[in-house]
Amino acid sequence: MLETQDLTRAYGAVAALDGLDLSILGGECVALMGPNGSGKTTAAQLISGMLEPTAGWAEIRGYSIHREPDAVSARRHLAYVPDAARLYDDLTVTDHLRLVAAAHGAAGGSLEKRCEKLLKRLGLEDRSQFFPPQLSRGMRQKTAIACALIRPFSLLVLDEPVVGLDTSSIDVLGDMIREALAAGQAVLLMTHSDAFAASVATRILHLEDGHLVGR
Amino acid sequence: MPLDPGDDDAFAPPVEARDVLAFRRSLFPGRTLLAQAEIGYVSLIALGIVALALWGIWGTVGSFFLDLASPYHLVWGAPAVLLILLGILRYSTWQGFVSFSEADCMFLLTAPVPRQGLVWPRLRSASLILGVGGAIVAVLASIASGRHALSATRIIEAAVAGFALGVGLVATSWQVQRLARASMWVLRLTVPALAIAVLLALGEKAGGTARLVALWSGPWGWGLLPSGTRTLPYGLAGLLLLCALAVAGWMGLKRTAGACSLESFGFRARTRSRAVAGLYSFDARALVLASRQSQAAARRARFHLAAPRSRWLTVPSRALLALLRSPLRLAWSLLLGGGAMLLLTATPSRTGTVWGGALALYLASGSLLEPLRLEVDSPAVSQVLLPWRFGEILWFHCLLPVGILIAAGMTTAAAGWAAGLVTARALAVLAVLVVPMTFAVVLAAALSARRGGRVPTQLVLATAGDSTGLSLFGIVAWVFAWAVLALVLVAVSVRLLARAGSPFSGAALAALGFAVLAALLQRLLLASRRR
Repeated sequence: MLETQDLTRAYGAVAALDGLDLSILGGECVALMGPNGSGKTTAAQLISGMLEPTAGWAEIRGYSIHREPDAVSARRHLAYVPDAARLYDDLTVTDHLRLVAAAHGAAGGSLEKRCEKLLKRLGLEDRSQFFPPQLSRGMRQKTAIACALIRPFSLLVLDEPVVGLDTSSIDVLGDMIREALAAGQAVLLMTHSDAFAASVATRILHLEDGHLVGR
Repeated sequence: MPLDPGDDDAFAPPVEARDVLAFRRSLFPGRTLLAQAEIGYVSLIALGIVALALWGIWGTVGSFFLDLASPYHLVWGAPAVLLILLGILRYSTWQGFVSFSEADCMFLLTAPVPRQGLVWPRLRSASLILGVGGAIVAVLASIASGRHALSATRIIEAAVAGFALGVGLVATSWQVQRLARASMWVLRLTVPALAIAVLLALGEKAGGTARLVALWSGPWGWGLLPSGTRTLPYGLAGLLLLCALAVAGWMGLKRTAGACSLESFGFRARTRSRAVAGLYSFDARALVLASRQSQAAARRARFHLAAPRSRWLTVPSRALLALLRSPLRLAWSLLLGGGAMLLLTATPSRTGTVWGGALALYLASGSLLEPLRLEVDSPAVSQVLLPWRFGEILWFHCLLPVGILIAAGMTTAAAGWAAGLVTARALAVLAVLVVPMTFAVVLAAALSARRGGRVPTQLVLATAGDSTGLSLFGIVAWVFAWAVLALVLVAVSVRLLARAGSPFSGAALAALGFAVLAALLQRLLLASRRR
């Protein structure tokens, strides 16, 4: 599902991520852990195409995420939840789900029912008509998670997904990840939470100063 | 020794607000007399330059303003006062006449100082300044209107009316500022108030009873009663009502000066610092976004659209939803777009109306492209949620405005033809031109909007060491370049076609030119990258 080789991002002389070699198969959940500034978010942003690498490459199902027109296909397989939810201030929670589903060609069938079910599961059903500025940080985070899960994907990249979530929501997210793995999808998880990583990851890797230090 | 919370003597007594303010002033001493004199001197020179420049163009615009203020056109008085009132009340929903800095909110307003003592001096100054300002404006308007022979009584009446209106305005503004519910109602009642302004103008113009109703309908008309009617009791009654309103407002100010939450002041401090930062960095967009902050909490999702079946309709559908949720913007854009096409087709031989039409078309495009601006404001959102490149997303955002403007324009022009305002030939020429021309104008507006509101730093820095003034020209050119391109092309094409012997071959050629230009602009837009 995901293959990276020598993936590097440097800011001048400082390498935020230095030569990451990573391979994730379908049905596998890899947790990348490490202290602040170790390069977890940089790795997530590079793999999701938000950042351009200064060296190396990343491919999702054989499509380069950084090279057009390959990136278009790669983006169709990738679902990304950033560390801080990025949402449109003028669209409601449900509008976001409809938008993402339509943009990924998943608007057919019972979209409204799927939206309803997903929002209910994440505890957002009574906030479905709220705009992001009217939501708490945790609710915005859950909306971002719902946006990633409403559409089909092969690889789910989650950057600090449990920050701001209550314990029951963390449990629900854990269940959702396990369901994705059972369906053959791959998950890459960046987190500080040892307990959450241990509960869902099939493999835990450690980053330090931009390098993988333990497997 | 630990303090006993129940023992009041262990705590210092409350501090007088005036002592705190005096101490604060001592920390931030005001300007010296010399510095104040220097500011006065520079202001005087600047005012002199502006006055000289205005004098130079007075011959052209002076007659227009005098015409507006002439007795016949006094009909604009009541709607103008209502619009000023509305503008200030809307401003009060996110700022208002009393504001504190973020640091003041953190340290001064959280101190054990009676809040009334901190707020009241500001309200009092604002009332006096607006009252005196209102009196001066009212006297000047009374002199310029020349409805009746100038007399001391008329001048005193106008001054009293202006003063009372100014004080009443500050009083109303303060209630809007301190009460969240009042702010919400001001936002909700904006559209009805605009409709009332139109009715007031119509009523005053109709004369007779309709005019009296318009003048008596609210404080916006009461101040005009002395000069608007020849009957003395009416005038006096209007003045008395205004004065009563001002006195009640003043008493309300005194009574409620301390009753405003720290949250409200904090919100205003944050939006003000954002707006000021926007101004300092020449970022007009930041100013607009700061002024919209107050609407965030009161928003309701009124319209809903099902997700489109085709992926390619996702962005236009999202843009349509945004426009449907801003009905005022949509109505304004339709009015501008329809009016533009009518101006371009009804009087293509008149230079002024053609340029007006081109400008209206560009403004309508810019207004309809607001969803694209939102995309540019937060480019990272579409990067996470949508699978297309940024340039493609911006291009998709152009499709709906083009469709709306073509439909509105053709409908209005056809209605103009049915009413006998537009010739069949002009309508046919428009039918040939409308698609490529609208594409070109909307794409030019989109290229302007995609830059955000901030003038590039290099351009601003260039003004620092430049004594030729060319850099200033560069900034103006940067701001208006795309608008000028669109305006010139539309206006010149329409003027040339109006003069051409065979307009249809000319129209086909112009359509081809617009199509080539639109293709070039589309390439530029597609190459857009996130900043």
